[in-house]
Amino acid sequence: MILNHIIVLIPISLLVFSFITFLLGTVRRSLAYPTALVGSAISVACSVVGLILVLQGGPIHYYLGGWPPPIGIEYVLDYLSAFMAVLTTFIGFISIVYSRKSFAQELPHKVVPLYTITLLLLSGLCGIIVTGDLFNLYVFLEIASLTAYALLAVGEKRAPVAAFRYVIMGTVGACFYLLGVGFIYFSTGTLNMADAAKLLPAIYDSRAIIAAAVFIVIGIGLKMALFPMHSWLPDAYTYAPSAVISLIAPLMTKVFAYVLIRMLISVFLPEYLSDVIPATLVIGWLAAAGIVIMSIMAIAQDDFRRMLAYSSLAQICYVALGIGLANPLGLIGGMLHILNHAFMKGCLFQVAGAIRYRTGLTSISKFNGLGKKMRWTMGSFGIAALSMIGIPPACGFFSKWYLMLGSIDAGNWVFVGVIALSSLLNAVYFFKIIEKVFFAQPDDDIVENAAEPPKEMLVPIVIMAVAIIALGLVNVYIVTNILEPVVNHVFN
Amino acid sequence: MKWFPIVVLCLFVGLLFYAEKDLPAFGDIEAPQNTHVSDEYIQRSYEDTHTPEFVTAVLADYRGYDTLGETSVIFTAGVICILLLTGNRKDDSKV
Amino acid sequence: MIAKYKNIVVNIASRVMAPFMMLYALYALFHGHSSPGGGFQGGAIMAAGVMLLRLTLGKERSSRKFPVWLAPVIGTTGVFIFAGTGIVTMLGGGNYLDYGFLPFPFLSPSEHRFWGILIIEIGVFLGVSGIMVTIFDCLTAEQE
Repeated sequence: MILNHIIVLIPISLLVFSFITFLLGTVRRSLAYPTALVGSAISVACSVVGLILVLQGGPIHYYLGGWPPPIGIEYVLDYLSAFMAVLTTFIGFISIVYSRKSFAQELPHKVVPLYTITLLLLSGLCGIIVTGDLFNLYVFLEIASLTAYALLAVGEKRAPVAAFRYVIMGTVGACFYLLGVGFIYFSTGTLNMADAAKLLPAIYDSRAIIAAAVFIVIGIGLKMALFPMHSWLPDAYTYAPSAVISLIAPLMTKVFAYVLIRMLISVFLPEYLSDVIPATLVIGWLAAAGIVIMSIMAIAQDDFRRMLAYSSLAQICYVALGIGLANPLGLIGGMLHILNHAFMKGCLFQVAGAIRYRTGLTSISKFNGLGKKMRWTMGSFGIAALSMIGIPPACGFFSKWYLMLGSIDAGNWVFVGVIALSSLLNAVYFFKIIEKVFFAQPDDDIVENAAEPPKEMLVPIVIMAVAIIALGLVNVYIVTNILEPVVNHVFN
Repeated sequence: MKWFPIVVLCLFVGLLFYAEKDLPAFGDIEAPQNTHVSDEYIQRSYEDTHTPEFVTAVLADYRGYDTLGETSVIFTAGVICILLLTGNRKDDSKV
Repeated sequence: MIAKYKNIVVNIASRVMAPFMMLYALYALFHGHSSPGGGFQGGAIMAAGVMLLRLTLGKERSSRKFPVWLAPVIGTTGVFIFAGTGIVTMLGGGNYLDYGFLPFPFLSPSEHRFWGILIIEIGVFLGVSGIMVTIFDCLTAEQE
């Protein structure tokens, strides 16, 4: 009986457990962490069961309130959303496990609201992923955005200012998305994604639909930090607390890239966005420019987290490049890169948090000799760095390979050159750190006294590093069983 | 760089005026937004929900899940105020 | 800390007005079925009644009647009632928030929806009023 309702339990379990965490936390502060852990574990279990059901039986549709679409709201669990749901809930669970010691050191008095807001953020992201209704997506986008603004604002130094800038730009992005949905509603009368996809081809020459597509692409691009609209991200990621950034950095921009893919394949069909209006062409070229410029800016940074923030900007432009190619191999490369990058960046930001926990250091020039003192942590960092550069069998190589195949398929040799050049640029900034960490002598007392982080922080780091290699080894299985049905359904 | 926001605003307004030509007229009875789904709400709401007011029926029954989302947005705002605006005291009191 | 307002006219008038405001809030909630109203509107008016007392009587005196720690608990309980109704309907056999499957034995399906709408509007009322008073208390909390 529960199996029928598994799809709605993914966001609702997180939502209900956030209320329970808040109530139990006001009674006794130490109950907040176990409750959050239990809620997150239930959602991981539900999303894994959902993925297994979808792999066996095909997409699942669920009518909320019992009303069929277009009268009511519909939830759809197809291959892409099941895949994203498993990724989001798993990284959420790992981050909550990682966060206990980190919050205890940085923000001990605010543990109860922090765990409540973390569960609400995960609930909002899962709600965005599984929904099949345009306005319902906006409601959960609001929940996810508000919680992200708050979590990024409780950092150090300039965190409130950086979060305020994110508030302004993020709210403008959400408003543009809502305006686009409004134009779609005026022109078709429905808010359901599948229904809109049926009704839109009749009105392709309507100016309102062109405006709707432009507004939605710009709005989602603002929230996704696509190249010209990225200026909120480096400051926001640099000053945030360590446990918060290891939750937000792998997930937030990727879920909005998923929204753009969903708009591309389920609402505005690819023929509209690539043939009728040149939207995907613009996205592709902005992404290519973004990859090169952001990688160059990452080389020049001294603060470790700021460098990782610019690196994240370059990586989300990879996904946008896959969307901009709008052919099967490019989309597969983009979607696979969402998965790979979440694990790679999650591991890297967790390593940064562990270094900060033990030594308080954040600038790269002082990292000399850390590899001898924090062996497991820096070993995981090495694996993640090799994966970012694109060396097999780590997973980063395979997504770049698919993107290159997609670019060759589209006949666009500039994109091939951009992907190869960016791998070289990644190698520059990561080898700089690897050389300092592994091959230099410790010259600082703080580094002399460094040790491995506590087990609750070390085990997530090692799990992520092992997952990076495991995902590289099983990527063929993932592509054939999960990602290829998505593109075959669209491009048949 | 003071001209940049003005240029962006002019482009935004220009796009809105561009789209206005194909939007349905205000209050048009044959417009898609008034015939596709809204019609069914108005016809069927009393026999489905026994509620004279169909705005409440749409808000709380047909689209009740969006109302749950909006109420949790309000809850989120409250918890965020607790997170950001308290905790300046040294004692361990609640809120 | 908000101190007691020093004008006696404001003091007495607010003490007379506040219960009527709260009663009007309940009216707006329960008549959401037949006239414009419902949970959001009622919750805002209820919170306004509590805030009026907080402003004019001073925080110390009005916290004896409505303590500071009670507001977030009421807010959370309200939203929990809303989400919990959906879970009860799932246990009753229908989809999430399908009020036709609420476990009331002797009502027709459309009457089930009537009572379902009333229950969630009460949940929204409690949630909105509690959270508004919470935000007000956080904004006017004493700094050290």
